[in-house]
Amino acid sequence: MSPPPAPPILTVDDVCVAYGDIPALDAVSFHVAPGDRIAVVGPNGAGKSTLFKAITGILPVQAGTIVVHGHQAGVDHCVAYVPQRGEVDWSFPLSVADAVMHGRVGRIGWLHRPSAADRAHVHACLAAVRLEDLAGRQIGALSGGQQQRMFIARALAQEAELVLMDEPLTGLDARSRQDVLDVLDMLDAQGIAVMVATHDLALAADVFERVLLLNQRLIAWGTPGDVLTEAHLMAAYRGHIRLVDTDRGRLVLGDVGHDGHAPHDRHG
Amino acid sequence: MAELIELVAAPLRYPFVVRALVTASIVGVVCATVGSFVVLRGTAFLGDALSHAILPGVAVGYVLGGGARGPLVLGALAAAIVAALGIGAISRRGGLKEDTAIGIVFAGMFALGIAVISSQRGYAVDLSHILFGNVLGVSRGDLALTAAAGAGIVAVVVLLYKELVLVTFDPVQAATLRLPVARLQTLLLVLTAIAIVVSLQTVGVGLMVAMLVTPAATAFLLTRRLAAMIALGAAVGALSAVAGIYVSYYADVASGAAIVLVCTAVFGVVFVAAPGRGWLWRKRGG
Repeated sequence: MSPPPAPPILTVDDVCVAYGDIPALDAVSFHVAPGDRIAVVGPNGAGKSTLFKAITGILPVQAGTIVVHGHQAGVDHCVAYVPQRGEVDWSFPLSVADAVMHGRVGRIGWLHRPSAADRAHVHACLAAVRLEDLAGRQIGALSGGQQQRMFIARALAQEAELVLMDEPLTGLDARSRQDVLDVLDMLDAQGIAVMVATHDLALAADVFERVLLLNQRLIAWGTPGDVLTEAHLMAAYRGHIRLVDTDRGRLVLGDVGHDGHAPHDRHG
Repeated sequence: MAELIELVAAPLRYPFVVRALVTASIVGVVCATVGSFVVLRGTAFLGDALSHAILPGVAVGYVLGGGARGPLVLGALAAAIVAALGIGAISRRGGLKEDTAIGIVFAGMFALGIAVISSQRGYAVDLSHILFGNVLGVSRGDLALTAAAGAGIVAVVVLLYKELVLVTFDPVQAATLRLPVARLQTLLLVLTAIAIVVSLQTVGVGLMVAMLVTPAATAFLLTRRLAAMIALGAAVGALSAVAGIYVSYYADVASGAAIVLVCTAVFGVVFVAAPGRGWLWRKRGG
């Protein structure tokens, strides 16, 4: 959609992050253009969440630079973060509309209250993810897919240009997954870049334009066909992946024996 | 009916009872306001620790000021800040879990406070007032101070409401919006410390955590909106405080204990019978 020389919205240059003495990210460099849809894949502990937290600015980087360009220089509201569902206190006494309004807190500004225009904007964002009928519900009353869409609505309310999503599809049923993927298409159509951390290599191959394969170092970065090769996957997953030739093509069993996830398949 | 009115009106003939009722109501409102954030952040133990850790400050203020209110409050605030910073330093630098750091600082400072007070003559009475409150001894100056500090705390929460809520609910999102997350969290801690200091005379350090968490937790069970939770918690706190003082007056029990017992009883009723969330409803729903 966007022409190749589009100026990047995010530049990550030679970034290193460590927790104490334990390295989490090592010399990672890439850039994101407006409207890019990127899957961030890698084994557990590869640094996917660390990368997102570094981009949001809550984790300091030990070396390298992360520059968020956006359209409004000096207004750092253009990165939004969609948390893993397990990180959220769903019993928190907030309505869905309240939670989406949080996206506008920075724009409303200190000591001001949300205006009628802010409320109208929130309503439009809820409508965009088809949650307008649930605006008054307490957040814990939503289903898993609705919860993800609520946070995407919060990113829209923020007028974000880059949305970071951590395992948004884990634990969702097929229909909820499709609802979330439809919303990703909507973000795509608006030129909003999306980075999705996922365990699911099949998903990365099927619905993402670009894949970033990470295991502390950047193993590979490009189109799914270029990145998800045997050599790269073996390098990223080390012993935790199996490649099996079947009559339907090559089967990739990811993260073997590492967590309880079902194996993911992909045609090679 | 006339008897009931007499029952309510009789204690009001004493100015010290009226001052106690007003002070305790303010304390109920202020504690529930900051207590709602304590409940939602899951920092009840920190609140309990802060209320105990102010004891050395109170003690030193008491010794230096000869019982005057100003040095006492300043000492308490200073101790609260030292405690909060100490807990942060021990858990960050020492690699210990935060609740361990809280336990170390809280017990150490509490012991220091008792040591200082016990070096004074007649310390038993003073200590029991500090530990368990003496709301019936509130002076006009105390009342004015409580009202002013309480109004200040409520004003800060109202003015910074949306930022404080966001930093409590989702600090990562707050960071992406470039809010000063650490400063806002420290502010919540300081507001809690001030609320504790001005509530000291009502329930004492020993029962303070009940004023912070019990009315707010009661309100949490009754509503799914935060603003309503704070308002309802404030109402529960203030009404429990008033009812507790009446109980104290007629049953001749310690006022701080009576207030906390009323709060606990209200929580118990709500816990069992709250629509949708109470124990009875969950049983019926299977």
